[in-house]
Amino acid sequence: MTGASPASRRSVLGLSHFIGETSEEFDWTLTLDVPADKKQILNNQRAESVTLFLTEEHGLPVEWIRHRPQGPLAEKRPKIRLGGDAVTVGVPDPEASGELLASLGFERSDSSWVLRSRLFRSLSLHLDRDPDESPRPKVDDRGLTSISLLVKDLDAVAKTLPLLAHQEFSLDGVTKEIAFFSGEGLLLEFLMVKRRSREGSR
Amino acid sequence: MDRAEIVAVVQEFFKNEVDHADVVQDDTDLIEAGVLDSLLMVMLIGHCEERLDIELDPEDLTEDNFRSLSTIVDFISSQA
Repeated sequence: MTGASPASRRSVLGLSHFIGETSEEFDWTLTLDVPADKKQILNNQRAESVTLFLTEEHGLPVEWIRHRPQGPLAEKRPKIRLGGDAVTVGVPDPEASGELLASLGFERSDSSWVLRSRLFRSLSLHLDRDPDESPRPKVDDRGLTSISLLVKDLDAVAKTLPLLAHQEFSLDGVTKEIAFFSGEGLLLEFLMVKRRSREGSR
Repeated sequence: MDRAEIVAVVQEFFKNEVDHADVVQDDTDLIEAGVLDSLLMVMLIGHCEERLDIELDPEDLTEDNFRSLSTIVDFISSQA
């Protein structure tokens, strides 16, 4: 199911944004229902909805989320480190996920697996080994916990990976489609941007 | 495909989707100027594919090809 696929490798355009869980009171801009298979990703079987708020950290977009009802949040160690033109994410065993990562366009570089953004070449995403990370990552920790990859064709990725929690929504007049992969110590969101609606808010 | 047709389609996108599109010149660095971000690039790709009935090779969707209006039109012309 995770064999290398030229279609999915060609479809991933690069890092879109980070995903973080917070208990801060933002002016939440969007509420999404939680389908049954998303409860596992959120680590909250009682979750009924997720609220989203977009902000920037170090010039990079972050999508803060809060699921409701909200359980107690653990403080997350810095899983995601931002520095210069590189973003480093700790994962338990990137070597074990090598085939999957290669199918998404990551390349092995020393001890990391690296995704060089095709559209923003100056920014690279590094997955480094961190044995203290959970092999079954979930969103339910306070802090930056996951990454979202921008894709050209979500269907092409779905042919390679078993994607969960497929949802479509509109934000600021732009229709977006998202789906998640959770497994092999990785939690990834895939985002496809569709048309701006004519009655959009811009 | 006629280059003027490509220019018109790209300009249509900028007019409808990009703030302050009127200050964008043919050689304005769209990334340095903060005019295009990755989401807008993906929307522009979809717009051009739909309006020009083409499919752009994902391998060629690079920052350099989306640097300015001129490079965008050159890139699409080479793909059409």
